[in-house]
Amino acid sequence: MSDINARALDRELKRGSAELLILSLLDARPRHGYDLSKLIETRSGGQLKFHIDSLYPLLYRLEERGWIAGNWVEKPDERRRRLYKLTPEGRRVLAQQRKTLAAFVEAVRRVTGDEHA
Amino acid sequence: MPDPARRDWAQNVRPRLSSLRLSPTRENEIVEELSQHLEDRWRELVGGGASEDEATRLALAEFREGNLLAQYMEPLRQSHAPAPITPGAPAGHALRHIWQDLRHATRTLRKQPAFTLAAVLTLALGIGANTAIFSIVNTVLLQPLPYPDSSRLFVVYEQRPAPALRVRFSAENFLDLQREQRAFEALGGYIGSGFTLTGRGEAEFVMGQTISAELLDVLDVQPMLGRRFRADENEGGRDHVMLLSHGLWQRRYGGDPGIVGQTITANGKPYTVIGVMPAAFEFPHERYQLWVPFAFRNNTLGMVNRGTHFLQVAGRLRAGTSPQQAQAELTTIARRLEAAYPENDAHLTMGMTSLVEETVGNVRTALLLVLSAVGFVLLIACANVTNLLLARASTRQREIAVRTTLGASRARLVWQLLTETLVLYVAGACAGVVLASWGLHTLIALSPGDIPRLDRTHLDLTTLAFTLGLTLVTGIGFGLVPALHSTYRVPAEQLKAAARSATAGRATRRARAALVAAEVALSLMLMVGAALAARSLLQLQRVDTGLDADGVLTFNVVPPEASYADGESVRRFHREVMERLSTQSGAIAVGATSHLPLSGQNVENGFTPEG
Repeated sequence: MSDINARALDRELKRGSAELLILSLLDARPRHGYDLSKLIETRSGGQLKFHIDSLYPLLYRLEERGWIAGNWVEKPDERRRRLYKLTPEGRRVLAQQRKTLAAFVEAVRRVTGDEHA
Repeated sequence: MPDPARRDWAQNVRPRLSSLRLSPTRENEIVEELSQHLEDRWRELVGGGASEDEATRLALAEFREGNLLAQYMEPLRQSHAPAPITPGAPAGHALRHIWQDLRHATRTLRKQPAFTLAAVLTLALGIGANTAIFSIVNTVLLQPLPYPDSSRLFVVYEQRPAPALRVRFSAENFLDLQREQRAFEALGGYIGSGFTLTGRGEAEFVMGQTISAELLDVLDVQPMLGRRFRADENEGGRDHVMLLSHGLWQRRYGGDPGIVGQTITANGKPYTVIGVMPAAFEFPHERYQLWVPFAFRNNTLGMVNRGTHFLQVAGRLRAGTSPQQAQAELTTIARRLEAAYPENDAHLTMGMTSLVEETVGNVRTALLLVLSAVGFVLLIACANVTNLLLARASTRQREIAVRTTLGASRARLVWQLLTETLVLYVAGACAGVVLASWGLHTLIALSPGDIPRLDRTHLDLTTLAFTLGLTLVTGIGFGLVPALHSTYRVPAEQLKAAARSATAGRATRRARAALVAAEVALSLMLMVGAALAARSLLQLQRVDTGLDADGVLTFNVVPPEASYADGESVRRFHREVMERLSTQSGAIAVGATSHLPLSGQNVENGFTPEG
């Protein structure tokens, strides 16, 4: 995977494709913001890194669209945290985005596969 | 394990959100969430071996140059929340604050309908009474008379000494004055007369004025139809012309535009209608419905002499001439007449009074007294409402304390409380205007008709401006007391006091006691004033006038001039009427007079003993 710097990720964020990362991670279970940023960094092998000043505006935007919902959760002997989970609408959008991406990747593969055949 | 409590990430987060219009609640949530993120990152870094300072620097490096956080959040809806209504929020546009305060005040007052209703009704009574009485004062006393340049109009009269007595002009003295004076542009005489109209429809008795042709020059009024009198019509034989009032023209003659030139019968004689006066023309009073010229020459009734004083006189002062100059001229002319006609004009002086003073002077003091009385009523109402507000303020100590703690400045809180009071006062004023309108109709209907121009009173823009001004002045004046009083303590004391008890503190009790004392004092003044007025009225009714009016009936009778053309025939007519009446059963005594005693009108005749 090529190196994607933070500015490039910001551009993706503006285009909307970074949303797919968040929705996918929340598909499995609710997570808080720091958890999400660590997962993205870890799973991308350090190639993708969300800064605090771009991650949270993205979360709040998804929340305003009704795709995710944040709730404060308190546990004994811990400070309360805001956990985000996917809403039914978010799940529908995620399914659609995954389908589109799969079709796009398949199309790219076919094109680039033909060139190198 | 480092103590996370030592890290105050909020001071690094909050300033980055200051350019956004987040609600305070939302801003606090975001600050908490991002602080938590930074804290997690810091712990991780410290756990990985970084020093605390290094960990802090690296954690804060999550924020990049240029405050991207605010940039990315700017498009979000939550970044444009309406500013909170709670006083103490970050300052915004002044108009927005006013609007928020008004909404908050309305909402707060709606939550306490009993308090609001009591306060609004109390204020409505005070403001309504003031509005009604001011509208009368404005129409009767403050508005100019309905004549051009009416400040130059004066009434002129003769005076007799010991006791100083104001009397009407004799026709000869009037004609001499008219001829010799220079201070007045024009000088006109007038006297009320009764007219029996016959010919069209039922016979009708109406009051009219017999006037000199110059009177309409004095008043500078043109008829709406036809023309004014000519000077040559002040002569017997040419004086059978008539001007009708607008009301009489409408009522008796159906507003016939062809009335000018027609002949109508008054007191048995034919008069040619030469014009109709405008609707607003009511000189000298609305009860007079027609005007005819007085025959100064060829007067068949023998009234043109120096001994019969019956003419009222009005004049229009020449521009640039002062009343003092005119009075000096009147004095000079009176002295000359006194010297020339000592048998009739001994001790003669002349005086003048502005027409507006003549018209409304005798009701001015009474109206201003009533205005003062309703002013006191308003003060009592305001004091009552202030008392209610103070009582209510003691139950709001906690709310005010919390707001102060959250950062509301005292000025902001005072303004908020003042807005609530002003909303109350404006609501009271609106209800008061409705009450005033109703009260004014009732007052006019109940009036005996002795207040000039009262029937023209209505709630006009001047009155409404007065009401608005009164409302704002009293609202701010009386609203500041509870507002300043409720906010004078520092928050800590306030919270403690609020926690201790919701009952009124000593200072509040003192303020309320002072208000009650002021109310009692004002009420006492009103009651004493009312009692004195009632006592005066009772005493007036008990004054021995020297007359016993019980069982006395009066009526007007005007012998038709066509049948009774000279003085002797008129005297014969009256003698015959009295003789016939005295033979009626039940009649004990019969008499006749030109003017009833104590009617306020007079005609003075001079008598020279013979021999």
